[in-house]
Amino acid sequence: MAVMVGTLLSITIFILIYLVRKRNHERKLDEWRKQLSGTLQTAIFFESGENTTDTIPLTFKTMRGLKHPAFRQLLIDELVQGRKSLTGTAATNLVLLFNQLGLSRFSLQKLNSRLWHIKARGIQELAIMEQRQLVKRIYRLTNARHELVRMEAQSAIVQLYGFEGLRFLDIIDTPISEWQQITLLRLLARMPGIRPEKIAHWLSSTNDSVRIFALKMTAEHHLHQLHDRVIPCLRHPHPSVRIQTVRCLKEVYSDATSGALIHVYSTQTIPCRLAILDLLGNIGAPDNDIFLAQQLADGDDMLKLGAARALIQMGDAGRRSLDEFPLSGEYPWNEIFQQAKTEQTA
Amino acid sequence: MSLTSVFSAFFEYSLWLYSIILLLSYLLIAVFAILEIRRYLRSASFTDYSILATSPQAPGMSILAPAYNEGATIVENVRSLLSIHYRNLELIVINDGSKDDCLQKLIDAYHLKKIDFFVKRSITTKDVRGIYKSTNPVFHKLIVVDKVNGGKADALNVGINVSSKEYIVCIDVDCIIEQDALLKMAKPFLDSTGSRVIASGGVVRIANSCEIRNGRLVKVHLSDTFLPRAQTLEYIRAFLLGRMAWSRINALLLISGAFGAFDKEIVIACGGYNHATVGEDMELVVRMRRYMEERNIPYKVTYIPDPLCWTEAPSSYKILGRQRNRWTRGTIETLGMHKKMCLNPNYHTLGILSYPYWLLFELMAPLVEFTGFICMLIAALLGYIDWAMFFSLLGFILSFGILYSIFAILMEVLTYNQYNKSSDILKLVLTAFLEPFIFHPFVVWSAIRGNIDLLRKKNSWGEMSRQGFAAKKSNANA
Repeated sequence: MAVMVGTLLSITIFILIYLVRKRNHERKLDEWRKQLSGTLQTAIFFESGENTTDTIPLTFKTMRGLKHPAFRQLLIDELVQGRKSLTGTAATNLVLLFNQLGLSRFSLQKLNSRLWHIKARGIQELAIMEQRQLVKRIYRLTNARHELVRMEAQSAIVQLYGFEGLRFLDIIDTPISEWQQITLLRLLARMPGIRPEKIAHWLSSTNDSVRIFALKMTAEHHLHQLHDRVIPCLRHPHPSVRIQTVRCLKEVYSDATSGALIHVYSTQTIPCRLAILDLLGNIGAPDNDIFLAQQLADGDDMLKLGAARALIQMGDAGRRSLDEFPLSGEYPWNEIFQQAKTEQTA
Repeated sequence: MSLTSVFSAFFEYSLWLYSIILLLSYLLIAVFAILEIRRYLRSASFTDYSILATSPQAPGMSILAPAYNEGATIVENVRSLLSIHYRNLELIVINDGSKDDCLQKLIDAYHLKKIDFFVKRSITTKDVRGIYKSTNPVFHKLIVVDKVNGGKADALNVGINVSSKEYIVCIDVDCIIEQDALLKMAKPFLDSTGSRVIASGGVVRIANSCEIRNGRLVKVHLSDTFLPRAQTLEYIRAFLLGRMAWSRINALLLISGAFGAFDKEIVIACGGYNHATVGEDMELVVRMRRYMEERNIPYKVTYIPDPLCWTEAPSSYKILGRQRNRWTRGTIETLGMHKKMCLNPNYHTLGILSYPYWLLFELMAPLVEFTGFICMLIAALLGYIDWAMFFSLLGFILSFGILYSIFAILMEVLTYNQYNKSSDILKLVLTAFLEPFIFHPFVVWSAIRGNIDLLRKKNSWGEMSRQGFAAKKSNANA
């Protein structure tokens, strides 16, 4: 009993002390932040002369503050945030300041940590602050066991080396999550140097997620030259690869696409069939209307709607196919056709 | 040894065993919750959620918001939902045959026009009277469905049939959803590689007394009145400790109906929400899990500790009683429908751990407590009670309960610290001391009434009138 009451009181007192200390810490951080904003502004607007060894001038207070680990971490965080949102000379100057103060030493300490979240934080800091000399260390982690360390290392390599950094796709034996694919695609969108021949190689990877990622890159960069390498993915055993292939073909289709899609249509899942119908409507090849009209009789109502939408997209010939469909006046066709027509006019 | 003494010993030892397992399970929940929240916060600390806000690769999400007689607040609520940050989003408001002017208000405010729309009957529902879309492109994400009244589960099923996206987010239309809630909710679905994430829940918090402006929560305040404050504490305990712990071992059975995201394909494969129960939110999660278990498909149900959804808690005993009565009936019905899973190793953690825990410590706890109280009264009248022992045990149990609540407050302070005024924390601590004497007995009594109502085959939802955030604001301004 007494132990319980003692624990209760201790936790309550701990909470209150914690709150007071937290408030004081936040106040201190605000103070430091104000102090650092001057330092960061000096760095951002710094113009180096002809002498490349010029250093960014810093106040004594800032230099003294660097001895304090919390102050140092705050400066690293501010530099990382600034580097993320700035470009050009201002961004370069922030990296210059990071190097000038030898802050990479502290990020490297994090990289050496055994704790995954500290290691991942270190990787992120080093990549954003362009510490290319550590690329070998980071690259080794692109196939790390811990998912978050692996993801940060992969992003870091792409951040440092752009498309060339994707060479880890050749070796990874773990799947790349969808989230990671979105992150990598966003990083790549800002970088030149896409190499279609490398993507073509990944299109036949045994790692399904690498194949999906390659399909996404093909679509994002409209790599029409890879069309013939994309088509075989329609026969991949995994449905998620097949549906991504159809989505990819939407961006890189050619005259041969419709035939390939119609050929594999009957073996696909319903979501994949819907995507194919949508794509056939987009392609709008006149030869497709017979196939699409046949799909109006499918047992699945969503496929009927998909086929009707595709026919409407094809213009007058498609509309005629709808009107001439023998069951067009009956439920559910009447409602489906009406919806497809209304959507077109909206 | 007489039969009476054998029975008495059996009763006594069973009660001891029950209590010890219950207390141990609370300790385990606390440990697992710490581990899971720590893992989440560490990972979230270097996650840039904004990448989803603009990415064309973001998965499609349909928010389903059923509305019944919400005319007083519907326009504000929909405006708030339309301001959520997410690119690939549609908002489906389902007017479940409201008797008030709910639909007309939506038509007027959002320039709605009835459209031709074929509703695929993936799940059988009551009739749809019409589908409306706005003529103003600003509201292009909004779809309003008008249907014949069929209850919340039926309305949600209609929403599922109408939705065109891969994931559905089911919410209560009168909740305040944080602007970045969907970005955070989408992540678990995209993160998983080995097993399919079939559902993800978000923490629901109490918004009574909070400052709400233009459908957005601007400042968090702890409620001034006891009942919402007790529920604030209860929600912190349930969401920050309970759900996070169960999510850690992938054994979560309940995602709150106020805010949960689901994989639509699995929802449809399972037949959607069940309108034969008033606990449709729990029943769906259990059925989805059962579906995956029976097909041996690896899956996960995840939970996010971030406070993403704010709701108005009942502030009167009458409404609170109805709510808890319904929750009890929902739990009994759900566990009854899936009794096949109880201690069945084919269902792994679900059958061996989650189901028995819910049966013993969620469903039966009020019954055990109530029976214990009656037995104690009888024993006291007959003079069988060793009062010294009684008070020691009572003191121990009360201290344990209060300690658990204060531990939950500690977790809140160390993680999200929504109530950052010291006075608010002290009020919460005080509530933790008062709760076992005022709030808890009432909740137990409501659960007992729920059991009785179920036996009497009463299956109504019970009217849940709420003051509404907008109404409160205007009262405050007056």
